[in-house]
Amino acid sequence: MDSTADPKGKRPLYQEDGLAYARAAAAAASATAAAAPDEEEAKPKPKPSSSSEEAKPEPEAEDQAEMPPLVLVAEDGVEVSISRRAARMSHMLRLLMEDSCADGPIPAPNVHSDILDLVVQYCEKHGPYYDPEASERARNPFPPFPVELTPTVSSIKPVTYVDPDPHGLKDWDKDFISLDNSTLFEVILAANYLNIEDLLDLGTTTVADMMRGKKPEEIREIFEIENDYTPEQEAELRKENAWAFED
Amino acid sequence: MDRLCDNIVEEILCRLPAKYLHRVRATARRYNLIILSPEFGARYWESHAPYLSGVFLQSNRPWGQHSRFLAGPSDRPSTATRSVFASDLAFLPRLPAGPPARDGEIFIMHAAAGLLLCSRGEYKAVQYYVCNPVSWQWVALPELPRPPTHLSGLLSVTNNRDGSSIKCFQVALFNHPSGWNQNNGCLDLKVFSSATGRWAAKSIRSPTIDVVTHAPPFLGQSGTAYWIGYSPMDKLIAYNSLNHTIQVLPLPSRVRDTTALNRCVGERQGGGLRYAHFDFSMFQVWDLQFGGVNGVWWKLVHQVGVMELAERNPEATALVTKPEYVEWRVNANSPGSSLFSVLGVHPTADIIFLDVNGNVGAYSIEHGTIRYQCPNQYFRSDVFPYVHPAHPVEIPAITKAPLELNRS
Repeated sequence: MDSTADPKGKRPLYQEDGLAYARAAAAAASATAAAAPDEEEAKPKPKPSSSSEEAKPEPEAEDQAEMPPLVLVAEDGVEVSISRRAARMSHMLRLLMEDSCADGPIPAPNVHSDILDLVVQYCEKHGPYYDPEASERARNPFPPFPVELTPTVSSIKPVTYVDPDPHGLKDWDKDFISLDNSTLFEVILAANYLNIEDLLDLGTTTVADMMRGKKPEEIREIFEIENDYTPEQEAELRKENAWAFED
Repeated sequence: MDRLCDNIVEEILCRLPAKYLHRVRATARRYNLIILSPEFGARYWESHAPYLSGVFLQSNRPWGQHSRFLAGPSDRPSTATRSVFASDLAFLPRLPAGPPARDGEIFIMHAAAGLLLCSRGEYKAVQYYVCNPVSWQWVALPELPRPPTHLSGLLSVTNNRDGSSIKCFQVALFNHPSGWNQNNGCLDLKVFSSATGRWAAKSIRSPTIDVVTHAPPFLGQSGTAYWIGYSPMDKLIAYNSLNHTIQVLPLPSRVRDTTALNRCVGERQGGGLRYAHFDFSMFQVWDLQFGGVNGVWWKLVHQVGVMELAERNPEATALVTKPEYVEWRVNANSPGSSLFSVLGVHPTADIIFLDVNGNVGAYSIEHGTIRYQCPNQYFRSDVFPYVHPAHPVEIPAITKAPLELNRS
């Protein structure tokens, strides 16, 4: 839409350029095209079509030449590619892209390739709608007067109800995050390493939701925590804040 | 779970209210250490405290009550705060499911020092609760034997000597000033103190007040209730429930005060009274100052023309078709048809909450712009300023009153 798109991914938000999409960049990424299909077969879960397209380099809508997708290397050596647009969601990858260090393979130690796939899946889904400036705007919502009322700049919302979830991402997130505990923790660790704020937020909130309303025994059972209290110490703790243990 | 590093565990624990943090402490030593560490405490309050000052907006609608928390500057608190802050008070006990009767619903009566005073049922309530929506702790006050005729209540707290925790709290239910100076009328109080654990009834003769008012009070966090006068219009009745004093304060007069409406008063955090009104073509905000000839005077802190306000916020006037109607609607005298009406004052930020054509907006004095908060198509809305301090607030235990002797 706006041809003077800021390379750092600032507004306006990414727009698909139909023509650019049709052009398949021949550059690089043929190596990733070879590696990616292997791990795609190894994966048990079906993936949405957007990530299977990662075998081909994903064309970018920036006015610079199409950038090939980034290549992340998991701990078991499998390479996973992630489009530049989706990689913006990771603060670490964003910094690498800005410093132009992102052309070669990027190591992601301690992250298994299955988990990396899940993380990339999340980023690809949220990537097109991700606005790095959104949290900054929320923190300072009153622009000084006078204000240029272009739609993306104005935080004077219309005096009618605005749908907080226009792209239907909440339901997708709920399905995405319904994983077993160990996978969930691995995803959280990976999001922490790659510094993906939204995914970390989603993961930790899900864990907190699982804890809420449960008794300590139930929490221990769900999260496989070992109880290293003596019965007297535990009774002492319960007495100290008795109100917290009532229902 | 034991595999997660401390940093991530802290991140998860930041999303739990204090009630469940205590339960997690009881699971294993590691979590006890994490939760008790001062670094975690600082992190917890740093992430939540900025969003925990604002107002509770409680609206009356015929099919049930509805309350929401408006923080003003940030109407989108972080997901962590949304997990912790139960602004819908869902943790209070509800009556078993049945037709939603107003008698069974929880109504907010007052907020002070991070705690809320709620009643079950709006009128003729006998059951009252004091709760903390951030830690999810609540206590039920002993039931009153008879429903009181009072509709207003004030919660006030007394801090411990070192000021870090609450020593005791007091709940005072009181009647409207219109009943104070009638024949044989006086200030009727029902006072509950957590130190005694009992309700006590009191009657106080009020000094003769020549002010007629019918409006509901604006309740301040210091335990004071304010009624804006109707006739004469430039007087304010203030009743303080801690020392049971009644005062009449002057209010700034209005150029064209054909109606005594569209005005509000609110206490600011740390003391100080703020008053806002629409006066024909101006919107003015005043702060109370001490000193001067009469001991108090009002200082004008902000003034903006109503037409300018409408110009800056074109969405508000979008529904008004012709430009000449804008001025008429902006200055309309009857409530409901006026385009702007003032609802309440934010306790910490320089924000006034306005009702803009059926929606609540937060008007920033510094920037002069209005930020939409929520719709407000209700008959009456009450505003309760609420600030939770950046440390845990525990409700002091209620002393058990000695058992009454059984009469056989």
